[in-house]
Amino acid sequence: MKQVKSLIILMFFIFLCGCTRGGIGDKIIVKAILLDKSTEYTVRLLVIKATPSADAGNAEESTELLEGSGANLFEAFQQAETSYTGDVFYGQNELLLIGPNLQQGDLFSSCRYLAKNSSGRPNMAIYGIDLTANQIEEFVKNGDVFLNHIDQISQQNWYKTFLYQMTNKEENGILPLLHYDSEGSIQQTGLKIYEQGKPIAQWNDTKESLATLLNAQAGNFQTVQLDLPTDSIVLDLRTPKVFYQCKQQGTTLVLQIRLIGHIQNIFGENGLFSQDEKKEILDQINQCINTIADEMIPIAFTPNVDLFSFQSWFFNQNQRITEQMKQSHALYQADAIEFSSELTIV
Amino acid sequence: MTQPLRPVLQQNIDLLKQMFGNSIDLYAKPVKVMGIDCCLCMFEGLSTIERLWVVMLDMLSEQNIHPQDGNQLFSYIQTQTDLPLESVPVEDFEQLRVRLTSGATVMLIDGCCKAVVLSTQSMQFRSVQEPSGEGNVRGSHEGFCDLLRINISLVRRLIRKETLTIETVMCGQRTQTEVAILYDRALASPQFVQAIRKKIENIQIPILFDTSYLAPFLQKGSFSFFQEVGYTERPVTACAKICEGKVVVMVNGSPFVMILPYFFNEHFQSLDDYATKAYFASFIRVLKYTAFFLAVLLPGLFVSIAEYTPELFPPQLLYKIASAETATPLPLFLEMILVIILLEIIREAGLRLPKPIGHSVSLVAAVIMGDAAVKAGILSTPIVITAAMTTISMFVIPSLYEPATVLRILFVLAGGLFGPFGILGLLFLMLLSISGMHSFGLPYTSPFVPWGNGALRDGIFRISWKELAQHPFDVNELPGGTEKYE
Amino acid sequence: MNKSIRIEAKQLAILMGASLLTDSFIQPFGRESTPQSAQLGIFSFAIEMLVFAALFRVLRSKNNTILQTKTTTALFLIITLLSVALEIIQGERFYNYVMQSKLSVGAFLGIVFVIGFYGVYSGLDALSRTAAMIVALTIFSMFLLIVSISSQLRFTNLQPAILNLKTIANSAISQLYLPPELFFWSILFANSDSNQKNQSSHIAPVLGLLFAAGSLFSLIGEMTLGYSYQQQEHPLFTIARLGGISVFRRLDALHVSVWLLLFLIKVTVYLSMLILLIKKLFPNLKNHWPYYITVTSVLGIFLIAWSQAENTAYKLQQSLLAILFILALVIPTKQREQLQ
Repeated sequence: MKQVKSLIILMFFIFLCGCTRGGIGDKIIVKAILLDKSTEYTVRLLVIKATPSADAGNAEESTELLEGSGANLFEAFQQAETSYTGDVFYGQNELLLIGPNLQQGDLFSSCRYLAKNSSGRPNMAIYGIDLTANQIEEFVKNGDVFLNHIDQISQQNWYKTFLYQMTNKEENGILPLLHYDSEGSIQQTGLKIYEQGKPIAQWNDTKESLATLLNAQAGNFQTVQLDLPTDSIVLDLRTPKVFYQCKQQGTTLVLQIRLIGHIQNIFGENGLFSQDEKKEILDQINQCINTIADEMIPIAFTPNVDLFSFQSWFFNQNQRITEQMKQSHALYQADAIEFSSELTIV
Repeated sequence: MTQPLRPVLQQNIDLLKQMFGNSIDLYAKPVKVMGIDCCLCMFEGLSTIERLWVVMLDMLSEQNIHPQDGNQLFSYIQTQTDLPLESVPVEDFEQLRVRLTSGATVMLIDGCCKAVVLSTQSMQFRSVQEPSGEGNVRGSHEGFCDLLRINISLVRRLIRKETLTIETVMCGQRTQTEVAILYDRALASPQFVQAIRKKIENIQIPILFDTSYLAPFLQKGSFSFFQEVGYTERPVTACAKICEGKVVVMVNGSPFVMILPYFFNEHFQSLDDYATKAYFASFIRVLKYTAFFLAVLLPGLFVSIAEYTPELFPPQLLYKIASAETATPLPLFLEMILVIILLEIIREAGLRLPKPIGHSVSLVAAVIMGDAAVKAGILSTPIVITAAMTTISMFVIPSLYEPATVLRILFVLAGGLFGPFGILGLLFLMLLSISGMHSFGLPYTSPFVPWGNGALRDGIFRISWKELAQHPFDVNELPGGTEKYE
Repeated sequence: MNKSIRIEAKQLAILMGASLLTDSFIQPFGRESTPQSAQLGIFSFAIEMLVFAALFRVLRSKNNTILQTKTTTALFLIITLLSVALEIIQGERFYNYVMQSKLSVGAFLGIVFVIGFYGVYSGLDALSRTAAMIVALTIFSMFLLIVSISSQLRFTNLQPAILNLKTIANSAISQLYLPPELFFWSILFANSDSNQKNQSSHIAPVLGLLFAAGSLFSLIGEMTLGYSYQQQEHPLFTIARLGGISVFRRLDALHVSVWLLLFLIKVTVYLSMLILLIKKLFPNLKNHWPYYITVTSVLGIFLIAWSQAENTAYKLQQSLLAILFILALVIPTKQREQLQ
């Protein structure tokens, strides 16, 4: 009798299953979220739809854009989601693009909203893009080309910022910037630095490369563009590394940062540099990098901002002195950090 | 109380015929041996006529002996001839029945209440062949056959130590089948052997044609998907288990012998593990464990992920599965159950069909399920692939086929109805069930949980024979035997 | 068949360890303790484990005393009821937090009760063996987690601060809680193994494991997330989401599965104790009545507390545990004198 009762309950569940729940086929997959704000918040969801095919090998996908706008992000998302009859599925989305207007303000509050919302994930890569919502629509009409380029973003070795890094209450952070041109290529064009929710600087070229190195995101090869007084050159660095050493000098601490690596190639306006030309220009290169770093550090390390975790080096050396220097603001003076570039020629 | 033989020959013959209902295969030939009336009784097919006449001619050639009555003739034949007789004569009809049905010829003698038993067995039986299952590359290729005595001899010639002990018990009210209990008395626990013997003796079962009939009577505990006993068709395996201190039970008429106790990890062991290099044997075992969990969990996981947590699929796979699911009429998990059931039907059909047309099954299955159903949009390729992969995985461990088949259907139901939590819940229940089982007093999950010596030496990985030989496995050394088996 | 050996005490220790370890993953409700910096967190864990060890040492000599009087048994019954309900609330909340597809509360409760009661029916032996497997899985899962986020670990993300005794003490007190498992342990050990010395040799590794786990999690959490670690609701889940090995990007599903298995162990242990206490308090109950009472009362507290009075229920649980602890110290001594 017990078995009969269990069987009846089981059959009850079996026959009722699938009645209320939509399957995976009813879901539309979000590949990227674009947020922007003009007079109101705009949300564009780049989605892919799969054409029905029992033979999965013959399945094809098509790209669409779901649009929504509203006085707040909730309304904007709701409008975008309800424009599609099925379920909008965010589980595979790991890309958040911030439009140019939102980059100027409300960025962090938007990120905090997404972090708490099911549409956001802590490991979403967040980029600023110089396309408005309307421009995105034009590109999406090109079909899968835009989608392919979007897919490539995660595969590039570019500077990455994750969503969880842009949810802090202090509203400090680095936003990598992307440029998508009409020919259909995407490039990283710089880093926007935020302090207390406002953009305070934009680092391009050399500063962008240096920031990548200081944030330990560089791989074994790094390309650095440098504007020397005599020439604009591009360096191919091999195994660049940044070494930190904090030393006590009397009653203060000094953090010495050394950039070490090997210059494999140098390209200039006249082409590839020869070995002798490389040696001649080496000191100039290191000097130039030192100067640029000296410009970056006061922005990256202030009482409100510590983009590259310099403070932890001071703390690990001597907490008491660090606290004293912090109180007296000596920690943020130029002489507290010494940067030296010690690149060599291969 | 069985009826004793009577001194009047004709009465014995009549009672014998009445006992067997005048069966046509009962051969009862009245003869005169040295002037005394006798009757040769046997079953055709169990005993050979040719051997019988040779024996008779030998007897008839002894002209100088003239017994006066049946008792003298019996005494002469039983004690003073070289005839192939059994040492114990027949004194009642129950013994007469047992001897006749075992293939012996019984000679009833007029005027004597005892009968002589002649060993003239010559019954037809399946010879010792390589078994259909339990394939192996190295080692013996012999398998048990259907006759108990032959099977006993196969074990006896592999374990030549004097401590190998074999006892027999009768079981089966209507079949009176002989059951043999084999063990090494220097290794097996005497209490355990006695308990097993007592259990078998007390089994009330009408028929007994296979060792598996005894399993429910020997096992304790409530329902479980897994069995606390193991089976093997190979004499070598049975001998190996006897040398570990285990008990082997054989049943006349079945080539499958039962091993007691049996643990979960033994399903993943095979003969070849000990014949190949340790690293390869370990690799194959890991493969088997993976195959088992794949077979049981993959269909349910697939359905659960597809329905509840599709973000777990790689992006390239996700839209393909989504497009396949949209194109088919059934919900994913019903589709999975349907495919699993179809595969089981095909497997069963292939098993039961005569060999000449057996190959048609695979053709029909491939064409219909693999091609036509997908093209018609009834089934989708991801489901078919998943179900086929798990079915193949299950063939890696044939001894766990039954529980794996049912469990994978349950996991599909759990995943389809309740999603990941359903899968987890059922997995937890499965683990609990296995952990709660005791195989004749020892935890079924030995030697892993509780952790014993065998876990590292011969559990998932096998160490080399040099180290294994230093301390052979003994089931009596396993920890955790807190439950008494009686 | 074989001689019984002391594996039982070890298995029981694993069971208790698994139950306590669940708190590290599925933050026990009510504590609502925000993550602290790794430095403070490690000190807090150390103090917490010392407190547990001290409590256990005191309790171990009072093996059966908690169940000697009806008052203490009834008190412990209420505590266990509250604990089960709170644990299920926390588990349900955690499950719906980590899964995008929600499971209805009814279905969740149904599954938990079915599993829990099957675990009770299987017995503590089976449960402890299952716990051993799940703890092994947990260790493997943590190893995978560390490997998957190894590329994102930065020492510079650590947030060292100047510490003093007051800061550490405050931090430890804010993190401290009384787990019912300490009382379970003393009761279950009394039923299985009355050798006092054995208990210490088993609890030390368990507390060591808990300390190691808690310290490791806070360390790798802060090394990955930096300052954001302290702003996360479930920091361990966040770093599980970040990690990946090769093409496998969603290893958090594996980790979450293992954590939920630990949760099921814990709930089953609680339900086992609950049934035991009900049978002790009402020995005349027959058949399945203890189970019916368990389901009804747990459901009742669940519905009352869920999203409404969880904090109150937690504070009540802690207060009653403290009272029980004091009673266990005081009353049994007097009881023995009266008996003499």
